[in-house]
Amino acid sequence: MKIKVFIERTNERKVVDAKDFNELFKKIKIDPNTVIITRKNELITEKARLNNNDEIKLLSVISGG
Amino acid sequence: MRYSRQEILIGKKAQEKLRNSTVSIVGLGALGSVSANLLARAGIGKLILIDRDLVEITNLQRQSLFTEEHLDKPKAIVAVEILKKINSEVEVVSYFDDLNYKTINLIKSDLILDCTDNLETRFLINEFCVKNRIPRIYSSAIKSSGYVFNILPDKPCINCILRNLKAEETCEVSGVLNTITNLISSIQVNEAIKILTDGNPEKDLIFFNMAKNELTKVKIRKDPNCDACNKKFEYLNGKKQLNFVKYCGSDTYKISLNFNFDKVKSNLKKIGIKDFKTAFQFKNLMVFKNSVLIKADSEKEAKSLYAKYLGN
Repeated sequence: MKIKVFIERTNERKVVDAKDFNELFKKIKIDPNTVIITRKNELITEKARLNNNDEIKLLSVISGG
Repeated sequence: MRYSRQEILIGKKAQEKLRNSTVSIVGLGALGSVSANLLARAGIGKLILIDRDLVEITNLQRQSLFTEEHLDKPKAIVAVEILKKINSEVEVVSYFDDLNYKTINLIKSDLILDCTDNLETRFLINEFCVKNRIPRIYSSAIKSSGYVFNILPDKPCINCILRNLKAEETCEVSGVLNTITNLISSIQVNEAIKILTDGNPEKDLIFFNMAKNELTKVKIRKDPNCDACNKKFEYLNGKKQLNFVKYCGSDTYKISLNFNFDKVKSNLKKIGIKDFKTAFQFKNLMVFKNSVLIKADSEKEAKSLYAKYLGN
């Protein structure tokens, strides 16, 4: 499946071939525990099912104040 | 008269509600110091502040309550002095202390602004607010981005979003602009006024990226497996307290422990301490009743300093 990914931390847009989030994160070399995953402006987890042509936005976890 | 420009927009009743409200602010860094300033100017009745840091030169770029004359003084103490000068009508109660499960009741109020710098404390505040049904506004910022999220009773909490997640970047390494911290604080205080005056607070997680002037709203649903929402309060009862934490954006490590504060203070007094009553500073160590903050270049050095001066 072709997944369009926007990585907010590095301001990168990628198209990745992945069957699930596990494979997606491995391919983009990002620790899934450091990002908030959104699809259509809704929070999802890495357990969610991916669909072909999904547009995924990865926002960084921020703890600083 | 003082609030006339604001009253035109929110009305007299809402202004009165602000005057009768108490807001706690946890952390007086870039977000907390600006939010405290805005709330004092807006005419909040009472502020409760808690922070465990001294003012440092690197804070002055964005922490607008403080100036060069405040360097090396506790932020919590300086903030009271400044806020009273800004608005003497506001009651300000301040604690130069570390917020942990033993001191958490200090922040009981109508609304809590979470402006701290580490996830451990954020989860602790989250559990306290869920348990006591206190509204809370989470805010955070780094580089040119930041979040604001209103956490209202029975609605999704911060644990529903950040469960098992960790922050990879710190302000120290990645930097932070004073424009994003001011913007995030402004959104936070705007939401605070809505919550306190029965307005219509934002339901979504707000993410703002200043580099692109882009606002993203993320819909959040309650996580059915969320510990806090299921009333499993492990931070609040001290079970999940981390004993060794490095704070975001600083070279400060925190060790939580139980020890005889007065005895240790008395021993170290002989070789010279700076006494702040609720805490004392000795070399690179700031010692509170239940925790010690250590400035060190590495975890190893922090542990070594701890062992050297405070033993086991």
